[in-house]
Amino acid sequence: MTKDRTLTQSNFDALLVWLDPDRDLAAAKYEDIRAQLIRMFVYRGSLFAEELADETINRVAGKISELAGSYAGEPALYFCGVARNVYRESLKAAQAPPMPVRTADPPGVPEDPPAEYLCLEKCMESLPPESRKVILDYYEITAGEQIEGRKKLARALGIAPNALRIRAHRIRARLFACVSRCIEGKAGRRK
Amino acid sequence: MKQYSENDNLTLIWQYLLNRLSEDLRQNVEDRLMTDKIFAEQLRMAEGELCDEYAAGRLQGADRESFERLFLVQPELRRQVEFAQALHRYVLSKSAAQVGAGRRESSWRALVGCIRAQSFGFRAALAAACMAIVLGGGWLLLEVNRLQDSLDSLRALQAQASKDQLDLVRELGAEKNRRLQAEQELAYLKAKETPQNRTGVPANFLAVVLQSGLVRDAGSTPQIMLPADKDGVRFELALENDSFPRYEAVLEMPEGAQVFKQSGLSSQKTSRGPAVFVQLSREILKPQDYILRLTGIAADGSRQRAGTYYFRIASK
Repeated sequence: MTKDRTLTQSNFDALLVWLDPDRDLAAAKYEDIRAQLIRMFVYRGSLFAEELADETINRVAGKISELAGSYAGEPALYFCGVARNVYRESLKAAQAPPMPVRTADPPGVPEDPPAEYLCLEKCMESLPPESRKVILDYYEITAGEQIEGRKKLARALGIAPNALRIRAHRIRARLFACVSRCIEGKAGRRK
Repeated sequence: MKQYSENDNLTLIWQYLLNRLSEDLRQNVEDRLMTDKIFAEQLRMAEGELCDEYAAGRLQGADRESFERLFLVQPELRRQVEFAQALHRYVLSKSAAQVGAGRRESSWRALVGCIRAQSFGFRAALAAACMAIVLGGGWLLLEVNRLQDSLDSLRALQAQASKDQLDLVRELGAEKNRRLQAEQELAYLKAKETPQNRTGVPANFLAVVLQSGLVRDAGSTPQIMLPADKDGVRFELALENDSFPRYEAVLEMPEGAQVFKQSGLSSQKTSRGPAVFVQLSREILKPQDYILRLTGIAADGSRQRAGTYYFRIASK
């Protein structure tokens, strides 16, 4: 981005007060807003999501003295509106549209076991047995019988199908975090 | 604010992630992403599920293209895709290896537990019935056993077939890489034989030698001016140590987005020392900075960085 609005300490403090009078709650809200802004830019396809999120925050902080007295709505929505302007400007500033990814490997063709797979094997072992069984049963159900198969699995576990979906998502998220740590660890050891 | 059902949300989120929403609806989703924690969590769930669908090969056509345009370009989302692919492979391999014995054993334990929980009278009646079955229906038991054995054999065959299929797909992937390599070699040798091309480079490709590890700055980054009559560039990536049987080259933009990947490469001896050759067509190469990362792949599958090569495609 060409516009560089530096975030001053006093603006940042005022921004936190605007988000919540309680400093700890305000800090949590700030982190939450920043994380969601980054996701919003990622989903819009920007390759500079973090920079655009910080630019958005800097712009809001730059107007904090006006906002604190006049804006009555949900602060997160104000950030959202500013973020869209920042995004539009970033498109104008970009010299070329993002290039499509090209890969010489046909999609879905496995090569040697990649690092993710080796890490996943370890992470699966570290799961409690009942979680491991749930995730394996959940994903083992083939495409044609997914809805019925997952309903049946939910019944066997004594929970609603949506509760099963959430449980599988949480185990999956835990595995993903474990695999990410494992890969970072491997990369660190190689350096 | 409008109330959405679970299904409304799911449909809306999938359309959002596949870039199928109008700007108004997109903004509506973004507003909810910023203010509704449950909705934000649902979005993360759908993100994972979409990656699972892709990894399982169930996303096709326009959906697949939309997915790849976003998820394979964004580094964070790409990690999700790679994870989903690993998970899919893991579950496939576990399914293939699973045999009926474990499940039969757990069913038997459940049955014994259930009988033990019954009253004495019921257990006595059950014992009498069992005796009758043993005495009068021995043949039936034998028949059941025979059928069970047949079922186990079929299951084992099915598991073996799944495993064989997985091995076959893996072998096919390796074979395709080898074929790609062979085609490149062939193109290279043909070009070498052509009298008007003494450089050993396919006639329509510009030959460029890159050294690894040169610091990226305006002064030392090799600049390449691609003439209009060339189809692309054939890079000779000089190796400091040629210690791997196979290499993988990845072309990235400076911010980390991957543009091109080629696996199954092997080194060649040149008058300057060992090198790996990578051919990139001009439609991939736009005027900007690039990084070519070369990874060595050992016989046991372990990977190690073999070189990092910086270059810039200069504008005309």
